[in-house]
Amino acid sequence: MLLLRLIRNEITKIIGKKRSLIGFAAIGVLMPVIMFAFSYHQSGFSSDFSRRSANIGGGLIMVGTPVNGYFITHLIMNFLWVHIPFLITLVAGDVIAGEGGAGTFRIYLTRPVSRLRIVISKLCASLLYTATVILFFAGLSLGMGILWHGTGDLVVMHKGILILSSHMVPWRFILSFTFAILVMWVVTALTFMFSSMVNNGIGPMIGAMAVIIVSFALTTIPLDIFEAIRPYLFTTYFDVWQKAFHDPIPWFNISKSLGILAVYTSGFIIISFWIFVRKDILT
Amino acid sequence: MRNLVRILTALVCSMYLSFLPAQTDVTSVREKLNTQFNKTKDFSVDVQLSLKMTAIRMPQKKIRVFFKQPDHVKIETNGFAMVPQYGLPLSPETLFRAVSDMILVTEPAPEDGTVRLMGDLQIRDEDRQIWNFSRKQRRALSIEVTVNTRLWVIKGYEIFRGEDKLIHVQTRYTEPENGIYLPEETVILIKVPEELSDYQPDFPFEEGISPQDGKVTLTFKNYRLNQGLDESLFLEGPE
Amino acid sequence: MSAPALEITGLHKSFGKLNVLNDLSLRVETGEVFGFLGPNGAGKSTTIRIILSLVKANSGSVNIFGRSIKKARHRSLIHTGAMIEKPDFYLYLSAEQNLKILASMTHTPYSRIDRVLDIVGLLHRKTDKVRKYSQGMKQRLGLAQAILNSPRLLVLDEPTNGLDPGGMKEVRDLIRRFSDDGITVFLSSHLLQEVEKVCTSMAIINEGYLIREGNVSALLSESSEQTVRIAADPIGKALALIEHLPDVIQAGIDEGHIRLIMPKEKIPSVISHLASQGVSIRSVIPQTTLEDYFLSITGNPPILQETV
Repeated sequence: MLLLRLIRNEITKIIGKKRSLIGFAAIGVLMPVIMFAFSYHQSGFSSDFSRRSANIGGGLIMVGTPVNGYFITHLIMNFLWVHIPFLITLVAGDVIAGEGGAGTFRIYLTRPVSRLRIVISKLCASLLYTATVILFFAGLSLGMGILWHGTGDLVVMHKGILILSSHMVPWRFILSFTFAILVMWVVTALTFMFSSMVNNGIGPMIGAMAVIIVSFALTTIPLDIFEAIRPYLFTTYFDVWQKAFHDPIPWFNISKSLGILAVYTSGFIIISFWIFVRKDILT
Repeated sequence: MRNLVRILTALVCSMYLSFLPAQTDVTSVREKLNTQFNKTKDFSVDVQLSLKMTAIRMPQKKIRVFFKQPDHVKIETNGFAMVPQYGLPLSPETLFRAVSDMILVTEPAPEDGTVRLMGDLQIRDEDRQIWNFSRKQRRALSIEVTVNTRLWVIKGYEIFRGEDKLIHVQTRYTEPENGIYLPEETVILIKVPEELSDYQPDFPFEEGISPQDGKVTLTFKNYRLNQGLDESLFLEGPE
Repeated sequence: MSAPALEITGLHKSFGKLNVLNDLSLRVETGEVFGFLGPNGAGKSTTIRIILSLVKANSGSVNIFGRSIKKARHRSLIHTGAMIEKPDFYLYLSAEQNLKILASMTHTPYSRIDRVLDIVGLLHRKTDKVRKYSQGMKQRLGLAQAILNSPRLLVLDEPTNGLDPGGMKEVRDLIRRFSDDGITVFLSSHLLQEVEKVCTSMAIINEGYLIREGNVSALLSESSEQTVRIAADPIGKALALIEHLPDVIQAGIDEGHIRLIMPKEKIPSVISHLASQGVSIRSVIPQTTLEDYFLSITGNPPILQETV
């Protein structure tokens, strides 16, 4: 019960800060813009798509348009690589460091509540915020996409061109966004760890994004030495959300990826707990 | 005795010739094909499309095809589909327009009255919508068209580059409706394009079809003939 | 005999190579208003942060009402309220929301929030965001959160920081009120006049060492120096005569009186000398202030554990 109250406190603090709304505002503005852009330029996109695909089948032509709500949402999900993690770090980076910088630990940590409980509550609130952002992203993109552009078959690139029948798509999106939440929790945990180390909310944000971007960069350079370290970079397994759209769904591969991400998440969390419980509060 | 042999030879030849359509040269074959085809001014048909191809996976799709003489085609589908260009209804004359130096081949001897027309495929830019080959791909193409001389329909055709068979189209026809033979099922075999040739097939292939082929099957149902389709329906071309 | 409200034993703390606290020990009895003094950098804030478990000592122990903050943190802090330096709140939340967050951590009923806000005079502004508060209001809100859980020990670090004289008086009155209610107050301040006015006991630390500890009056009276205020006429002549005397530590005019600091045993001879030179002496009032005492003490090398 105390932990629930502490989590509620943290949620109150997160909601009260304007920076927490940035993620929702950004997504809320971006979605209608993208949807409108697709409806305005759909014929151009379809023509371009058809033109680019004209030789794909040799003797196959594209008829109709691949653009529908599912297609647009699937395309928008590519924001999960960098843009959404950035929005996540805005809050996760501030949840400990921000209080340190603001000096509020002097009234919060002098209460008869263990630091471990407090840091657990902060973590839970951060994870909840992350999940809420992803769910909002999912709901708005799918909802707007379906309302604005309807449903239909989904074209994805997996072992060439894979067209998923429309009735098979909704549950795949549920699966994909669930995986996306788990992936973003790794970002949350990483940023949370940095937040436990400093007293400035900006530092953890920049640190986490730097780690993510550098890791992605290393995975794209085709050198043997980078190939050797790829399995140890957690960003290597960030693509797990895409696998929900593969056919057949590679459950073993997904389980392995999620397992490895869980190890990284746990590691980040353990380190942040260890630091927070022991650190001297001097601000 | 010698006379008997001559008589028998003439009899056999006449019997043989009686099985052959009269005037089996290229021109007459083309004329007869056109005559049969022109019995249909326009039609619409529902098509079930299934595709089995390395690097392209698509669930079965239903499309609706509209045709109007001489070569207007429109395809409608819910959402979108990848449709084989070469299996669509095509007037014989539109097909033959791109073939040069056409010859009639009657060997091996026709069993069911089929003959083959062979020639070089010369594709002009304005025919690009019908023959989906880029300029680079148009070189050294040849075509072999199989004609059923009983029904006077094009049974199928194959496109080659040298010895390599690029496309194979085979059509089975329905029973005549008012003397009009309509495609019931068309099977198209297409070579996997170069861009996708690195992908390994992950499904078992049928015997006789190599992993580098793709198989598309079109099943035609619910024909509506000669409805008087307006040309404005075809203004945008295939959707 | 009940456990003292606060007992610090052998506290050591260093930050890297810097020793901030050196074997600090002190004891605060229940019901006292205990002043904790020292110059800047003496280790006062570090001591307070260790008491409140914001900072971990290298060695030593801190017990609050007999309970170790290391082994029984919850049970020791449940009876403690604190305000450390300038209180910082969640500026984007209202005073009421801030206190609700804190109250929820200790099962304190929300009805207590209005009570404490009323005590500090902020009830009418409880729904305003704290960012709109003045410094004085934030200071009072700091006191409100300190007494929110009805503590038995109140730890205040510079509670009058940033306040005007009126605000300072309000805080002093509140401290006296808390003390009257039986709350033990541990007060750290560099405003010695404030400490002198409210504290019953005190400790002085310097460079991490305890210099003096004991009852305020007793400590002040032990001082070998004395400050007196002399009402004399003519005051200019009196000052001129005093300034030339040996053993005078400090002499000056302060609000129409001569303020004189010198060894207490020499004062009678000074009065006599003034009278003999024709200066009319209207009054002589002894007035050794804590400030005088503090300055005299912290100017000396550190002396350990001298208790009165």
